[in-house]
Amino acid sequence: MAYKELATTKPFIVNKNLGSAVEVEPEELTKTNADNTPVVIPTQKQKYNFDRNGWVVIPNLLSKAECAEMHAFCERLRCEPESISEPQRCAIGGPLQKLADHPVVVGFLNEFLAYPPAASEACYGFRLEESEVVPDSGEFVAAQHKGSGLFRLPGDSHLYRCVPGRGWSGLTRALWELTEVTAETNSMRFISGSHKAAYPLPEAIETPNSSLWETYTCPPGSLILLTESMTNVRVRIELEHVERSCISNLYNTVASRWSNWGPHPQLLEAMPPKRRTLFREVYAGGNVVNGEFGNRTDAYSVAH
Amino acid sequence: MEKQITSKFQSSLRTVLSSETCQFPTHNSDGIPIPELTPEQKYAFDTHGWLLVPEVITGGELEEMRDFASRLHNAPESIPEHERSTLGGAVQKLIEHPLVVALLNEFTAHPSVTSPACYGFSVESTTLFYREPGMGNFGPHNGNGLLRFPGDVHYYNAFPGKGYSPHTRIVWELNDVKKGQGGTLLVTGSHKSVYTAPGEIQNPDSDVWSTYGCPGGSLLFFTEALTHSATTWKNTENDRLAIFSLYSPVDSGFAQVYQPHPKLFSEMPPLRQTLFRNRYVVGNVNGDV
Repeated sequence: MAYKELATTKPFIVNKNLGSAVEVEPEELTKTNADNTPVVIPTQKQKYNFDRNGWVVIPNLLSKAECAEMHAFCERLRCEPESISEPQRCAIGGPLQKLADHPVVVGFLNEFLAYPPAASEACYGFRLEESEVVPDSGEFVAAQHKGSGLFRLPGDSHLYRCVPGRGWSGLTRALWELTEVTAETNSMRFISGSHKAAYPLPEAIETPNSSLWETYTCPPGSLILLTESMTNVRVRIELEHVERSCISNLYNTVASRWSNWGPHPQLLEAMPPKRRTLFREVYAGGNVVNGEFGNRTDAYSVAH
Repeated sequence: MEKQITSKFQSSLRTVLSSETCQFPTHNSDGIPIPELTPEQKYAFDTHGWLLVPEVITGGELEEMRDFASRLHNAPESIPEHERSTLGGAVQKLIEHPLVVALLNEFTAHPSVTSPACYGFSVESTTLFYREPGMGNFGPHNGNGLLRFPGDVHYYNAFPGKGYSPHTRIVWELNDVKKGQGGTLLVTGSHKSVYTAPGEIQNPDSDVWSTYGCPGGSLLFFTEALTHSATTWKNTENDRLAIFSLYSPVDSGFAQVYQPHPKLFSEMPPLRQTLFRNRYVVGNVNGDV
């Protein structure tokens, strides 16, 4: 069935100078990843769901073979880390590295996180803060976890902002599920819409059984994107054996930094140049490779 | 009016941070108490986007600072290399003057990286502006910070009872400034503008612009979310001698992290050193929190 197009959907995003608008659209930012694969533009429905819920699941992005290879690497990280060279001994080592700038992740972050003047074809408009293999389960610590990003004053990166037609998520997490996840095996809990919550959480959320908590299920090779400004926790899984491999990559704006993690220098050095820009120094002004920072922030420029 | 209780969400949601519980430094590195901003000062900064406090430094202390700043411009080799900046000699203490800390505690500090032993903000840059007649170029920039996305730090956030300016400029005017003769130009209220700037913003003589006059030793605050500009210095009675310092949140910045000369840094009191720490949040705080 053909749907009718809305008359206008173009938002007004304030640029650096004099209230002028950012002219470049997210689809025009970094168009290929470090492996020269074209970036995948998120669908209108994915954008709509992420903005209203604070999270979205994109199933079946990785092949069975890719999942098997990555899962095996995760198992080695867990069980025999010495079998992996020290620089590669992390969640962006070996076959996991390409997840850091997977075309779907880049397309999504171009929409919800990138700072357009700091993006170019040689350089991403966002940073990768930290990467980890998610533990199978954790303690329930509801009272220590985030939320209300829309009204939060900046300073700790757990922000969410929006104007009609565009959402912006400060700290954004990409979770790669390499094995099947069910409601019984998933330790992640979150509250949909809590990135925009205006009221403090009720006491009811202090129990993991509260109906406010939700989780997701998905087949192997799926990607979950969520804003860290949403309330989310990990709960203890009581099952005796859970076979789960999940990679968590946390992204932030070029100007801000939450954690102090960084990849091993040799691993960084061996990366393709564009992927290395995920780990560049934390500042905004002119922090772009082969870019057009001046043009893109000039109130009077039309060229970009 | 009864005292307003302001609150802000911190990273755990069920805890709403009351201003009364934030453990800001109560004294600066020199042991001088940090004053409370007056309600008028807070109101003016939030409403206008800028605030001028006249004659904060006076007398012999001002003379000493003028002498250092003049030597820094005219005879830098007369100053030891590690002191050869606006963090050297007599002017170093301006970087955490009690009034500066008071304003930044209110408008720029983030509670999660603040303690009595640690500032909740960082110094992003500090530099000397020395201008003779004819120097200084008009170039309006920034503005509209309220609805800007946070990616470039030039924003301004506010809700009833609380304003937040992550990118905050402090200008110490060490010499007299005559109104309309070269002081910084500011568009009052433009940090909250929702309309684009009109064409005449390009005219430094437009009544869109506000400016100020003040005696030497005065202190100007403005949020970098405000539209502002340099302009030509026209005062023939004295040159402009001003120290421009820029403060940012601990987690972010527009420019690269500012690093003082290592020897100068090592000689600073510990609390002052926290103004120059690495740029991130997690655990980036000293002392009891």
